[in-house]
Amino acid sequence: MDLVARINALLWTWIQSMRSVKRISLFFPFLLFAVLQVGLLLLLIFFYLPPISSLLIPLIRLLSQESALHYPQFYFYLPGLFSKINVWLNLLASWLFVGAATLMFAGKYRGRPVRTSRALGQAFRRIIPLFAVGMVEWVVIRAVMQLFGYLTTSAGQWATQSPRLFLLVGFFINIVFIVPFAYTAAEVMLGKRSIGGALRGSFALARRNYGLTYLLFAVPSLLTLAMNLIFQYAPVIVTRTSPGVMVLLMIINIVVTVVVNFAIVGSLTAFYLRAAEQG
Amino acid sequence: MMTNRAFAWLLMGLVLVMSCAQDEGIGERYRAEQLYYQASSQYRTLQIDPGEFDAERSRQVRTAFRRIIEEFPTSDFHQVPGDGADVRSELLTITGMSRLNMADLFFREGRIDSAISVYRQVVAEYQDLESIGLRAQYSLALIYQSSGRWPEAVSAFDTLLENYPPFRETPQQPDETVLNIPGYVAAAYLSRGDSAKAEEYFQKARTYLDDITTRWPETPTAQMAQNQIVNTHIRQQRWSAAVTALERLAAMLPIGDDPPDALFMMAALCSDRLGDLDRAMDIYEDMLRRYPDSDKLSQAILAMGQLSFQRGDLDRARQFFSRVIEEYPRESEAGATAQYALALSYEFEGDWDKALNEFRWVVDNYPGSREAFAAPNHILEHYRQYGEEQLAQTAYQQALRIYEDIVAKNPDTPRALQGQWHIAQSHILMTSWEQAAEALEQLVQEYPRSQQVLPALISLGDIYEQHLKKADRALGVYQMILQVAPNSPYAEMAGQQIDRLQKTVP
Repeated sequence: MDLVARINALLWTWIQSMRSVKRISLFFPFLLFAVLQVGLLLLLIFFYLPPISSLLIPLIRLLSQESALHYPQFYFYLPGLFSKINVWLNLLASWLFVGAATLMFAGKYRGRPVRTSRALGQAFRRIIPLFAVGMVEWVVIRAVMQLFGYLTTSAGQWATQSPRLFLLVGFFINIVFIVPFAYTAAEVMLGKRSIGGALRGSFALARRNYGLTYLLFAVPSLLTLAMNLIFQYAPVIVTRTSPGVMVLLMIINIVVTVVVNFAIVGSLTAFYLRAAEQG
Repeated sequence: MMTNRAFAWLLMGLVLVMSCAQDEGIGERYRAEQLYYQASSQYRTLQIDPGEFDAERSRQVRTAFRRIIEEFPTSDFHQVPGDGADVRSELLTITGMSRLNMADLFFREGRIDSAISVYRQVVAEYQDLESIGLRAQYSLALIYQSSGRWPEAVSAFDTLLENYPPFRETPQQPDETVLNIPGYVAAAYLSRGDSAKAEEYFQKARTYLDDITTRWPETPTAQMAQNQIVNTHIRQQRWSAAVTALERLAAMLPIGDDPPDALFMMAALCSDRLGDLDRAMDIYEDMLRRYPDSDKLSQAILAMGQLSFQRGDLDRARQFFSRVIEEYPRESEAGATAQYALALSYEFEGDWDKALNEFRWVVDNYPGSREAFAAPNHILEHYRQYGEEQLAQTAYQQALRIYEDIVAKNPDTPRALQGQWHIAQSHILMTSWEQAAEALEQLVQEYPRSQQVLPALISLGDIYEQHLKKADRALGVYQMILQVAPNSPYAEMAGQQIDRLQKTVP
């Protein structure tokens, strides 16, 4: 594909994704995951209430600092804590909802809509390959981010001195390694491929269209990057306003994540189908 | 199958963590902190804007603090040390602070007896939490004092000194509040006019403080106690004893890069209060030898110049002033003072041309300094004193130009305020009373919240009364002072002027 064709393909996939916004049912898988995230947020906010306190207090101590167990300091650490636990929630549950959403988007693009319950059922039947490819991606990304963190701290103090730059660089590097796994869910759900086949298929398609796939991820994700930048000012926000504002921002972040995931999964599915049609 | 097993492991892990974990009161502490944060936010609003204070709002805030005390009864936390002892102590601090705030709110509402009752309760219940008990005991003493129950206040202060140490956790962390009390009580007797009791309590204070310096020598607590001993002598105007105490204090302080303030104070007391210029000079010379690299030496050299000036040794004085200017170019405050003093030394000698040159140098090189503001009017005053009216007229125009320029270039700043004040002073020096009144009126109008307003109003009243013969306007100005600052010394002056005016004006 030449550059003009690539730009055309990019615009086409975004248009397809945007057209899907009108079909509310396509949001359901993402909203279900958002409900889980809100549940996690509520658990964290009420960590001090028994009986969950006996589990969450040691967990907060483990993932953060002793001062996170004080009010209102807890809210300074809340975004970081949520993000650390959300990583595990992503590993354990997100694949199911992404698999279902991929199926529903494909149904919409093909003119044969799929109901949420049926899509979730089918995703559940493909549980092992979905979970496995999700696990591989999760491990690779975690390893890369750990390495990035290690290299930046060994290279100097800039990671701690320029946290915003660290976040920005980390964001773009993260996507570099996510891109090869971009089509694994589509390969499993639509291509009915095995674990190895899904990984190989996704790598091959991503390699042929690396820049385009990168943009399909990066552009919508800029919204979450903006939210993460806001969360870096958590202590200032809590001190100048109230801890409640932080909760509101976190809920806004969850809603933003729904929109971002919708845009990414919608456009990736559209591109996958287009590539499949073109052989 | 594999996934089910993973979930089973995860579940088992969770159960294990839950069974091993102990809350240790952290949940309770968090809840208490949450309630305290909310109550304190309401309390802060009352504190920040006293205009907003009313009994109903105060009652609401008190209810918020009371809720904390009711939800977390003190008796539950006074337990033997062990698991969660720190958390319990933090919970006690929260409930203690809540009670103290409640007492303060009672006091603000004018319910003195309720406030006293709460403070007493805190003192009794928080004996094992010194920070809270001490604050309650101190507030109790202050509340007795402010409600005119002085003997009970003294007794409360005495109880505090008996029951609480003069430091927080170790003698490395002195408690300024406690150390200040003995001198404070003695000074209060002095201001009440009871000099016999004042003398007795100053002696008691020194005995108490001296004991601290002996019991915890070479600690910050001992140093602060010695500092308080100095203060007791100064309050009694026992200058010689103050110098001796300062000498001891200077010896107690660790040797650093800069000379301690105690030495500067010692030298100042020697020269200003005891008239012992030689000893003051010796102290400064000793500083030059012991701290050759300190930037604070500019202050010492400046003071040496001023001492030489006082002695009439103008050449030596000028040498010191020049040293300050040349050797400490970054110390602009000292530089400005030295430059101004240099000018004064020439004026004193009768060499006006050189003096004028130095005054102009101050204006050009130390803009914004107190001396740069003073110089133009000083030049004007000089010409007026010597009856050189033409030169005075030129200096007057020049001064006005300088001050007006400052006002125009720095609107709504302290500099502009100073400029406006000096414009008025220029007019006063030239006996241009209408313009002086106008300038002062402008100052009052444009900087109504500045400290300069009250002296400006006094000056304005005087101009209206004495020079412009507008007694009614003067009366209005004095009455304004009573309205703006009824408890200030200016109000007392204004009151006297009003009485006088009302007697003389029909």
